[in-house]
Amino acid sequence: MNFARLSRPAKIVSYTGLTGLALVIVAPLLWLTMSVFKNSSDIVTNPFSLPKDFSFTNITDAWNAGDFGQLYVNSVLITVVSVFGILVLEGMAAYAFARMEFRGRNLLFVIFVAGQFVPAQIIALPSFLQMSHLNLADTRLSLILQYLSWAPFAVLFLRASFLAIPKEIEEAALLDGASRLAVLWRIILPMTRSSFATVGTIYALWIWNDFLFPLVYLRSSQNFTVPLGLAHFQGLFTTFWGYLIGAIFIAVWPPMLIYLLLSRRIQSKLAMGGVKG
Amino acid sequence: MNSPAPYPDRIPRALSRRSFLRAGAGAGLLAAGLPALQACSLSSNGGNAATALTFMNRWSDPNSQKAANAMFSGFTKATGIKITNQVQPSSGSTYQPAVRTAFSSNTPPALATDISGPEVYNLARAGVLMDLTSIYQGIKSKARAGAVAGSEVDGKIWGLSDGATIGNCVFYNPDYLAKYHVDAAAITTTSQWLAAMSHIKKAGGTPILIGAKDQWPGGHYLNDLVQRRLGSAAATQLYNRTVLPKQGDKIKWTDDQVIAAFRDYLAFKPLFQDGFLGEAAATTDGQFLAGKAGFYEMGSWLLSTMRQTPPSFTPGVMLFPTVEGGAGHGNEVTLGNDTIIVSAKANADAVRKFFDYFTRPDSLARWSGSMFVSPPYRFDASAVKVDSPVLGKLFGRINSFSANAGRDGAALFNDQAIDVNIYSRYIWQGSVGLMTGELSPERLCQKLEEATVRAQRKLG
Amino acid sequence: MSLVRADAPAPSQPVAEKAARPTDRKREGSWSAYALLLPAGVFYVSFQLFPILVAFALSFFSWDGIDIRQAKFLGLANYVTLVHDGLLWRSVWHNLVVALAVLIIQCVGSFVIAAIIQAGIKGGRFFRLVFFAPVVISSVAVGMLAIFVFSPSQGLVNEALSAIGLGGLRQPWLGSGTWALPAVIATYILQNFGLSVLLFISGLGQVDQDLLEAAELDGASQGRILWQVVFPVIRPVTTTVFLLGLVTGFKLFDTVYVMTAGGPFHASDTIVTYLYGVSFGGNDIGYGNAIGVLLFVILLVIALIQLRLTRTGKETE
Repeated sequence: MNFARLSRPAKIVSYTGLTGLALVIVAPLLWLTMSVFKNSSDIVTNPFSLPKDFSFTNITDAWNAGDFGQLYVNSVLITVVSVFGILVLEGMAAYAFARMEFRGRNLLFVIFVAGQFVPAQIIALPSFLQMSHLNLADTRLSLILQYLSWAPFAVLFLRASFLAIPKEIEEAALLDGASRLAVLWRIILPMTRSSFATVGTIYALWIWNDFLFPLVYLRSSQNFTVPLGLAHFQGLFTTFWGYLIGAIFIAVWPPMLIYLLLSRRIQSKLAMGGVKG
Repeated sequence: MNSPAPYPDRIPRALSRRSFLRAGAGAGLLAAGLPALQACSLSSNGGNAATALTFMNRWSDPNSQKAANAMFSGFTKATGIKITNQVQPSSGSTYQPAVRTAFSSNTPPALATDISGPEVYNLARAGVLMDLTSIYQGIKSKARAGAVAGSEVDGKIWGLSDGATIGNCVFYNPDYLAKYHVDAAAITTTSQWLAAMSHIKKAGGTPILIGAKDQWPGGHYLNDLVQRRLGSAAATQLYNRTVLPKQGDKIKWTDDQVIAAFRDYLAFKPLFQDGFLGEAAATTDGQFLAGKAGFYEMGSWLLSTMRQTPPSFTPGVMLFPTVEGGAGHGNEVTLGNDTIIVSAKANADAVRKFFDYFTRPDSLARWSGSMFVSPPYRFDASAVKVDSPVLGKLFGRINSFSANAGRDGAALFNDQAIDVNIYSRYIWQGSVGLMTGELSPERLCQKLEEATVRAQRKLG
Repeated sequence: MSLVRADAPAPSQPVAEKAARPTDRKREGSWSAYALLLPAGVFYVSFQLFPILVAFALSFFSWDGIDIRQAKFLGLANYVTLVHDGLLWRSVWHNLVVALAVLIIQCVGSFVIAAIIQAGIKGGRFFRLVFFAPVVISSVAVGMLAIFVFSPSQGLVNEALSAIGLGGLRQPWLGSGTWALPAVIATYILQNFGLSVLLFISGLGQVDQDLLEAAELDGASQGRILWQVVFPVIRPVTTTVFLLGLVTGFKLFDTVYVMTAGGPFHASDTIVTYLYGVSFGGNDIGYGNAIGVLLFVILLVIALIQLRLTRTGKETE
């Protein structure tokens, strides 16, 4: 596939289309960045003008009022631990499903995957009562435990990538007397690094952005996560636009900056071989 | 296609991977362990210790947080009892469920705010609340009408009000109105009001704003109009049929006056701003305060917004005008009542001390001025200090509304007095359906009546 | 390169012995397999499966969420209500619209975009960056931003329409029975399509370069190359993207809830927002769970259909 070999009209359409899309995405973000430096009434009176007096008040007020420093710590902690745990746990399970024969394999696989089809909203309350019984209500640990149980997609995806590796390599290693674990560790894992990167990224996004479980599990604001903290700024009957814009700005830019900085790393990891089979 | 990694004789990378795994596992366990340790230390009480109370609330916007924290520290200074502020996101659709969830857990908060009405009744019936009747006896001499509105079940008291807002206010912009030669002081009936607004519309102005996308603003109009047509007592009787057993059906949703009230709302349609169905209430708040329209129907909490976003003019406020042919008087008010409920597991002594402190006249004055609410207890209104003179005047006027309403001149907001299933679907969503034309007033009232009859049956 | 160490013993008898006892191997394989499954299984069963079963069981009860001991047994009553609930089936229809939009616009569109980028359009890296950026933002934040963007009186969309002379097309977007759902879908797709693009790009990266060059030297058209060389290789990625898109499309909640809460008058209700309104707004957890069971069945059917379709293709699983 070579872009240069496309016909002229096709090239023009491609450029216009992609640029148009990029514009549609960038415009609101630009508007957000412009508005955050205005004061509350200015945002409503002059939505599209440049800020008159450049002020950081919205950002600092929102940061302090929402205690975003603590929120980011919580979100990062929970996401990192959970994603790491998922990769380890489901990696092992997926390998068993992909390579080993054992009684009940198909049934167990179906059971593992079925959880993907259930909306989290109906699990939230029973799960909360469960955590409450374990005296874990209103803790970050309860969230981590919940996220560690999000097996279905990871098992599905990782199993597929394990299946894509030709059996002969493992067979040879096993014949040489290597243990299953060693084979997994030294041969399979390096070859499926990109799949793990993909699963890790997807889960990191899911967990970071999750709103429902933090809402139901947590009550003390020092345990809140970033999306939950955002909700603080939208009252039922009163909303202060200045603070809200500041809060949205705070919720939006750090993940984006991190992504922009690491994008090269992430792209290469994801592009390395990708999903096989 | 990547060529398969050769079976390694030496394992340089694997080692670092393994040690990484070990380090990672260690870090993970530590990270999981720390919160667990923290959880253990923060755990149970639920505020049972005599020296600490947990207080769940939705005073989450920055102003309210300041006011709440000030009140809490005042209490701690006076009694030595600490309060842990468990402030939650304030959105009603998440806060009430959060309260229910909290009270069903092993670690309920000692105190919590909640809206009066069915929410309190349900929690009381489930047995998770502390009976406050004896505590109420202790402060009864200080209490005014409204202190236990919507928190009394079977003769027992389950919550004490922390302040009511007035729901049926109409704010206006005198400068904007002057441009069209409209004098708000001369308006006392809805016909006069609608005529004045038509005049503004014909002249090219924006007579009135509404953020109908959020659904509850439309519910406000239904609330106000029903109250003006039926009067507070009858409206309350109607709403009670959805949450209390054995109410009979003297007043029905399908009565002429109720249908007429719903039809009255349609009269506002041509007067609202373009695209009002898609506008958020927060945006219209800001637009009104920026001087873009003549009138704005909103509860007295708009004063909090004004403190944050000072208006570009000096606003005036009046109560919702009367409806000709309606039984309601022009001085009757709608109350949005927040009540403080107590967990059955809480320390009764500490709780009593809290209410004693809260209802002290000086605490009430401070609370009133910082939260812009009218706490229904005796205190010196002149001691209320409001930072801005403009807001101070507005607040004084709003307080006079509740003073002049008379003992029977107040009704709870329809979204506090009516069962949540019914109001969220038929009042909130229904108000939108009226405006889009999908529902006629007759049809909506019929559905409301059917739902209410079902509710009565379920209540026995 | 030989995978066997030079000084290893000649593998004659040991192999034969191993091959001669398959059941032993399977039994021995079973235990180590179970050992690998156990850690994940413990978490999954405790914190996912168990609440799911409880939730399913609760669908036969009536419960207001406060004291679970006061839940009342209803038998099939919730399911009877479900069948007759017009608003629920309207929400199912909305989800079908969402699913269709996601499949056609997002999945197909992402593939085309990925192909263009992979083919080497100038600025490909920039486009990748911009398209994926919204994916990392919380959908709650995106939804709140979207409320501004779609504001009828001063949002970007209406103002842009006026600016290019199409002022007649201004709409009360989130307040319009016709446009609320499309607006929500557009927001959702714009936020998430970048992930599909990335997945497709990684999939396309596996296409054998030599094969591609050979086909081009042979003079095959770009279309033919796509069909015969590329598609077969990316089939598994495609399956993943489609399945992921469908399932998340059916479970759509955050974006809708923040932007319209299902309004105006249920015009943008999805199954899960409707469920949420019933359970948490309306205190009827039992009925909400029955709806959850319905959604589960729908998704199961979809997954089975998709599995059947992909199985008739290649080997894969």
